[in-house]
Amino acid sequence: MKARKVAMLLVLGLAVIGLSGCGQKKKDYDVYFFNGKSEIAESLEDACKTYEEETGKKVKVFTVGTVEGNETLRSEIKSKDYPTVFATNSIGIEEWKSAGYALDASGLQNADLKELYENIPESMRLEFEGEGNYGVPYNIEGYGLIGNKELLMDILSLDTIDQFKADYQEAGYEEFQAMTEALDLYIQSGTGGAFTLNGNTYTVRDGKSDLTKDLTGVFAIAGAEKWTYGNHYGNFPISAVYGTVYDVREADPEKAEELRTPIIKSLNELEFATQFAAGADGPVERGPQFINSTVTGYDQAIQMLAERKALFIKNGNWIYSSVANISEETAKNLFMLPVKVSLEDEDITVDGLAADQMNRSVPEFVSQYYVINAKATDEERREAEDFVYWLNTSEVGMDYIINKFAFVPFNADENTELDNPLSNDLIEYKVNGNILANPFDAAPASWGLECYGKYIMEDLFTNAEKWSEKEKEEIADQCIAYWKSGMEEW
Amino acid sequence: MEKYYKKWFKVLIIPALVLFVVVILVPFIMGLTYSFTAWRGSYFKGSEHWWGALVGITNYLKVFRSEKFLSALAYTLKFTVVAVVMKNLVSLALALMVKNVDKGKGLFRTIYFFPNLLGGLAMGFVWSLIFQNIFSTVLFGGDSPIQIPFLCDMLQDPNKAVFAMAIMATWQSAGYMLLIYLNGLNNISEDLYEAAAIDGATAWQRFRYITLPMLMPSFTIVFFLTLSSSFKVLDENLALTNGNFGTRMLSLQILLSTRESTPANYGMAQAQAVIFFVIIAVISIAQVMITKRKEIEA
Repeated sequence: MKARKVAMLLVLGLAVIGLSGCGQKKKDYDVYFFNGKSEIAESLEDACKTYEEETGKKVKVFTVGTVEGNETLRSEIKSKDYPTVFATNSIGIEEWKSAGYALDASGLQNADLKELYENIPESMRLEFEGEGNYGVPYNIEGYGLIGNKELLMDILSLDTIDQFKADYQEAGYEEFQAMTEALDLYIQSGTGGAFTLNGNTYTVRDGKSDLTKDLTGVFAIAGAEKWTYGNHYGNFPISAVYGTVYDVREADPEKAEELRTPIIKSLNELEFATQFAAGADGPVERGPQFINSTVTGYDQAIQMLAERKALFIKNGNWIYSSVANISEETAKNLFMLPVKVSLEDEDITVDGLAADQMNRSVPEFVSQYYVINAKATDEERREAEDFVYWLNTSEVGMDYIINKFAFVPFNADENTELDNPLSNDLIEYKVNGNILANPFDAAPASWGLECYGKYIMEDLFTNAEKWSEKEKEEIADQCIAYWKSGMEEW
Repeated sequence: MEKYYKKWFKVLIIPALVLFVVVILVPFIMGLTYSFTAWRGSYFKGSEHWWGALVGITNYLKVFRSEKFLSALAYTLKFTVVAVVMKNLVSLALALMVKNVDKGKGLFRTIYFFPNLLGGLAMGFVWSLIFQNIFSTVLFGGDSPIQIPFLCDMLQDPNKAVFAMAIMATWQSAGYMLLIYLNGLNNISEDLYEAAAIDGATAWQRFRYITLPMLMPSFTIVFFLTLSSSFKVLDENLALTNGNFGTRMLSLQILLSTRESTPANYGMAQAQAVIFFVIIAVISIAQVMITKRKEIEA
């Protein structure tokens, strides 16, 4: 009897110990950084080692990809070993501010870091309901129509791309269509021709060359990945109605009605572009194969651009390293053009924005911010603040940001030079003031994936015929209804 | 031995009991409680504690008004019916075949069981290639002499996708169910078949009046397993269609719903999980009761 009781207590004790974890243990790091960008995970570890060598402070880094990032952060921040600095974006801040984890600039102990916060340009600040200043931007990202200038210069017999770039920026949508058709004719049959951009004539040469012989289509389109058009493409119609992320948040849900024409026009633009999609061994036509993930997946689309099967891809500056992994040659010849929209001035309801301005601009935005954990102890916060300050201002830290992370620093100016030509282009657009914001970020959660992108993929991309006006109108109605219900308080 | 178990029973169940309480019971009760609150994952809306954020049955009302949840529920039911029938028919047929094989019985059993050991999600991507390319462009579409439109582009239509997912689920689980059926078949005495044969019963009659009734205990187990696993299916859904073309099922719906509002509405997701639990509990209990009754009759 006694033996049984003893054994029972023993097993119970063991089970409890086993389940309660290791108990009290002194933290073996000074700063715990929860990073939200997996691309920089490795170089970030190196940066932290350098920091440790310089200051003797140990930084622990934990990185998760973006989709699961939030879920992991939620449990991590509640654990005993919580991050003292973490990453979030202009939408995620609502959660972390409400939960009390986001430290405002006013609560910072490091006066230099406070100054850095205060010097962040107004348009890039991490705010919640128009107030506060909660983080330092990781970087600037941007997207547009990425082209291979080596091929274009060959096809158009040009010595430099500069004039083409300038003319393209000023060109209207019809000129863009004519250009696409002329390039497609060349790709499909090697026939020359001509088109005009901004009134200047460009001649397409006759016959294929070594460079252009592999081309199968004008655009690489990842039809199977609805986020590639659901998310980023959706930003263009939204940008016609809402200027910034905060405009979306503060607007009356009824304002979404103004999205109707921009959405329908964006579908027309997609209908046009999808007629010129490149494939592995020839053009891909709309239909079931257009959304087959083994034919038009994301990696396949990048590969088609890298292997010179496509001239252009709609994507962001972050594709540089993926392209470089396949072809260094293509990567260094990439350049970024604005995505052309067919909107007229009267379709655009954002104050001070005109169609020609939209047509020469690329969306640029801050994807993540460093945020100090307000619930950490005074000392932990001080350590975290010192680290963020070091990473974003010291010579060594900036070297990591620019050269190792391959980021466009948020405070980049015309003197910032990067390896990635697309990032250099982004800086150029920014310096010239030709940028759009990314109000898409504030769209109701999943609007791009489960509504706009979903209908495009399921109803339109699978349809080889001409898309009916009625169908496009129905999609616009659905998108507006989804938007309105997503904006309701719940 | 029996005496040993009797004596040490209470001690021996402690680890399992502690695990059950800590890993299942406590989270379940917490989840049930949180389903009545404005829980946002990292905080409770408007309060420091859950009791300050109670919203009554609001989350449940929202779930029942949610088009996504209702369509996921309907689609899950549809899939369950198809998958349960398919899994049972296939595994029973395979069991009957394997039973009548003399040589290499073990080999066949191993081959049929093998898919069960492979990871569901990884296999899902393999099957997605099979459905998208092999089925659609090589075997039943493209220039193939056999043209079966139903088997082409199966992942791009909700009705075809039910069968695509059921095919994969059957392929994966039939081997396991086969073992249960085989065990049941082996337990049926040969005397019965002999006696029936002497009385002039046809093969179908022997199957209908001996095999089927005697297999009822195996049916109970297989039905129970396939029913609940079909209802809870996630891997096939995620890897094959990812819920596109109106093919989202309940598990995926619960998984995705926290990503479909900002900040994430965990309270509502939790309410869906509770409803999900109740449905599975009701179906399972009802089904066990019905088949048990059948067993007694047999």
